[in-house]
Amino acid sequence: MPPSIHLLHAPDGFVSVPIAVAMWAVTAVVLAIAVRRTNATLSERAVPLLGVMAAFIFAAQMFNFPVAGGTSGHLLGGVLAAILLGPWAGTLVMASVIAVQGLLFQDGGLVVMGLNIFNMGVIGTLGGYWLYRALAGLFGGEGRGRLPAAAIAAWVSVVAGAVSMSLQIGLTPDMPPLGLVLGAMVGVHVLIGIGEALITVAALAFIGVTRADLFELRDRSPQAA
Amino acid sequence: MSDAPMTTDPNRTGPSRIGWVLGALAIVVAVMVAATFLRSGDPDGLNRVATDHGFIDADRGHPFSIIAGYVFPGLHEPMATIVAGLIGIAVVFGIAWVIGRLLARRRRSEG
Repeated sequence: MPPSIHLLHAPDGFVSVPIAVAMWAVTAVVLAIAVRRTNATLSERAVPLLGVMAAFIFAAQMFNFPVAGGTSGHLLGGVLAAILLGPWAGTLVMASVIAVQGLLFQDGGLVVMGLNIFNMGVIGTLGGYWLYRALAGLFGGEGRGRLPAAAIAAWVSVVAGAVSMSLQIGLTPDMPPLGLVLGAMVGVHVLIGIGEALITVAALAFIGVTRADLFELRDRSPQAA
Repeated sequence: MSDAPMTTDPNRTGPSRIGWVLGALAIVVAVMVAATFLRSGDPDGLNRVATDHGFIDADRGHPFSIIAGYVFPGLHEPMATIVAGLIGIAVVFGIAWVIGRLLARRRRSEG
């Protein structure tokens, strides 16, 4: 079997404390909004799916897949979570997974947890979801455009997350220059994003075949009933 | 099986709900066990960049250690990773379920 799982997420020390604290503040605001919005819209029927999505994303993140040049990547899952649960509940699921990874498995630092949640969660669940909805509209609606829109949004979310991580590292004193980090990170994550797109599409296609009704949980708000 | 009237409550998906959750969790556990044996042992994107560009040693580590690196202390591989994975799956499932439970609205029309 392969050697122990390399720690997957940014540890404390890669990003200066001021930047990490500022990102914690941004993430905290997003999480507070996510709690309020989820509270206003989440259907009770979606509750089991929150648990299942968190479990799936946790397990899938352990599954490093090879990309070129002795490097691996793993799923982030933000776009997938947002498509099924909506952007706000999806954000809470991503934050739960990343928090457990940091606190229980020492994967990802505590000072940088805010930026890890932002880079791997919020960018995908809010930005990626917004892009998904725009693309699905272009492709003739979610029914027809779900898979291609999800594939592109998933890929973009990984590259955007890598850009965000690069900015935080590159602006930290005593780190390599921003341009160098950015080039290296984007170069690798352009490939990792393909894996993200494939897994996201496969999961959505599987749900479409087995439980297509789950696609309707997201927009089912109590007020609309 | 008959379509019993118990499925008329719009808040319920019927008796299949528990079955679906268990089935989905079985798939999740299968993914985790497959990851234990089949995952790439190469460093992931950020680790690779940090190694290539000489800042991997900036890692300041953690102030405490519980199941560090997805290896359950005191067990041999592959069980160390599998047990760690099972714990992680159970914990994140439970946390997300509780968050959902606390935030989801019951429909007023119920009953």
